Amino acid sequence: MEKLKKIFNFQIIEFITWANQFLDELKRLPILKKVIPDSVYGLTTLKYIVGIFAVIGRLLWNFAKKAIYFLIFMVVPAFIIMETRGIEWDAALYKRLIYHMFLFMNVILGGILNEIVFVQDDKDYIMVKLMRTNASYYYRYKMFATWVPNIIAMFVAALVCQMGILGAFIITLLYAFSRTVGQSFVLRLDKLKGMDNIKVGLNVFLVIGGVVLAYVLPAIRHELVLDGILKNPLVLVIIAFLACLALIDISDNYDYSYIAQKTIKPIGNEEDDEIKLPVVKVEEKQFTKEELTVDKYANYKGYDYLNRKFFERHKGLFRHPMIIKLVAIALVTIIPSIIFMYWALTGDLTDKMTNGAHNVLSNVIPSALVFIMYMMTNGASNNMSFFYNCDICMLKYGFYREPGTIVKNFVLRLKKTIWYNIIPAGALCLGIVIFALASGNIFKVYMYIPFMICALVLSVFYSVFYLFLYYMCQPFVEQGKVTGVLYNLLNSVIYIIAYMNFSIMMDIKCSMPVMYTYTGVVIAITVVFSVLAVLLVRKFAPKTFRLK
Amino acid sequence: MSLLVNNVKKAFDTKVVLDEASFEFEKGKIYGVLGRNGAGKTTLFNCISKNIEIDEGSIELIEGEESIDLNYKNVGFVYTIPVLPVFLTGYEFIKFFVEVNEEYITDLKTIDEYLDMVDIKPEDRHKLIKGYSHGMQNKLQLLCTIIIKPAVILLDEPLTSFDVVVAHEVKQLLLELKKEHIILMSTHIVQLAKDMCDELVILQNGKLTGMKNESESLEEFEAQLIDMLKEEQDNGEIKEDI
Repeated sequence: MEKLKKIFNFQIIEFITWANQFLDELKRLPILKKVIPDSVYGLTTLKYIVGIFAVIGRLLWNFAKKAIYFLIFMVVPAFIIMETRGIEWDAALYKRLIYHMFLFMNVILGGILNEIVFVQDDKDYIMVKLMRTNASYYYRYKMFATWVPNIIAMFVAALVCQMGILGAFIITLLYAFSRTVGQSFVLRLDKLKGMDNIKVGLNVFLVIGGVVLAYVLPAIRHELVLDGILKNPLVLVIIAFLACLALIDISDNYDYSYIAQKTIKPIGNEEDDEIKLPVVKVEEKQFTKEELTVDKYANYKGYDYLNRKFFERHKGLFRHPMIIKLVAIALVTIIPSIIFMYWALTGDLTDKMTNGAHNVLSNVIPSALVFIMYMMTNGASNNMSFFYNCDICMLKYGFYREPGTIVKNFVLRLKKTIWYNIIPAGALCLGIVIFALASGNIFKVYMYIPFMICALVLSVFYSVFYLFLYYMCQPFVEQGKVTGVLYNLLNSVIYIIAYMNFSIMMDIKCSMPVMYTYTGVVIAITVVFSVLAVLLVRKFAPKTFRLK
Repeated sequence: MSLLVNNVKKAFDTKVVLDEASFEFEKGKIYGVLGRNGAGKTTLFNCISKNIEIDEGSIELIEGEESIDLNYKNVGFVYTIPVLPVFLTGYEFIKFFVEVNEEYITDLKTIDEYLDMVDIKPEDRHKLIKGYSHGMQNKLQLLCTIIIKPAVILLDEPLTSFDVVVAHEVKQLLLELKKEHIILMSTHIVQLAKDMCDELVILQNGKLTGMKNESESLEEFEAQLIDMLKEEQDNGEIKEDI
């Protein structure tokens, strides 16, 4: 009872903390700043009410994340594969593809990669180390509190994504199975080998293997035919039974006190902050003596020099994500191209399949471009890098806050950011051409040019947008938090717009003239916004870009 | 030349930190600004350096009959915890700093000459600031002030966690600098205040009060200081100079 009481009390504290954070954000709004007094923090009843809204918000967000995951990693690939087979819609095939992809991406991959015990969050330290909650009890509670809302959210998401009630139930059961069995597997592996020794290698192997099996097999028409098996009640009972066995194993067979001792580190020290923030401070050992002594930018001066050094020293934050994107784009375009070329060589490539590929290039990809380019941009994490690795200290110098300097730095950073974003966009365009060639659509490449231009313009737009947000809102504070209702709101708005765009366009079958019109409108809006954003930054950033 | 703080008021929401604070700081002296935790010393420094705006009053630099606006060119702020871009080497940072402030620098030197002034060794100049000790980072920060030679130098709790040698080096630097500058130094270290400061200014209840550094012994000085801080807190009244 005592242990339960501790966990319950902590939940209440977390509840109130969310409410305080929400009230704090409201107080930052200019209109409400003077209206909401400091004494509001003493109104416990009000905070309980606000906390309820915060909980509802988090539940809705949890559902949204599951729905997005389902859409991006399962629904869209399923539609693309059906298109390449020349099939517009086949409910049975759709479910078969979803089950196959879900098996590899979520049941195998997700079950292990999303294990909870060895991934620390703030609560772990507070509950186990500070409040001295029994580690075994705490970890069991943590699994319960994470899995149950996710299971419910997964059921709703599957339902929304046209899986039907039985299909949604099967997906949910598989999800529950994956999490329990996956966690049990990881705990067993740690007991035998130690997680630190194997984690990175295991993750890389799983990701590559899982992704290839999830998508390549269906692409070459060798997806596992699971729908019949999964509808068998006996199979479902066995899956549920195995999940229960895994739960029993998790509950009884591991020394959580020992795990807590080796896993949980104190929060609030410098090392921990560096792990938490998505930005990484440079280390001497990353550079050779020559790299530090021989200055290749010695001929550059002032802020040009500072920014070049910044991007050089933080290559990992900018260049490496770009390289990863390039590799992903290469895989996503080259593998299907190879498959189509194989079919062409073996004489299996039909007109229907070629037309299906054309439909992907002229309808599916353009419909999703706004969202694809949104996902390909590292805007938010770039902003954190700029602030925590440079501006947090430089903004304390008066010369750095001069209006001309702020605008100059904005322009220098914008050029570099555009560069890092436009290269993957260019790679995507090249991938489109390669796929068009491989799928027998080379003479239609001219038709895809507007979409390629749109991809390039969108990469510039998102580069401008995030920097615009950073310079106009400057939401970061020294303690590692993001404050500012406006910044969070605009971030959410752009995400919602990108997602809704994607969601609506995927539901509509558009003719070429309609696609061109839509693409033209997107280009026009993004160009106008980009120009406006730069002008607004020039005018207002000297006042808004400050330390908080 | 003097720095005139005249009826300055600064509040954060309902909390009044500076309440019609007034004082005149003269060139050629090191002023020790003392006060209890939360008294507003850093706020005062931020107001002088224009990092934050004051609500009422004025802070001006007076040269003869002329009043000069304060800005980053004539106020140097040396923070307790150094604020330096750790991704640069010491050499690169000073190169950058000199280039962006070139028009305000008289007697321009080479980067190595500047680094010699604060005894940053040649083998350390091309290492990342991240790897510098606290003392080295502070010296680098102080060097920025020496390069620009602003009229007013604000030192927020300097010499904390310095080793004996670095502390001595920095003290000598400051004693050299004071001849041509107005130096304000906030500190909790009574010994430091006694050794280095020509005059002490107590910040209490939002007001500034002068205190002459004339005590013979450290114990007497410390006792005087504590009495003053305690009494002012108890009574909330301004004390006369002792």
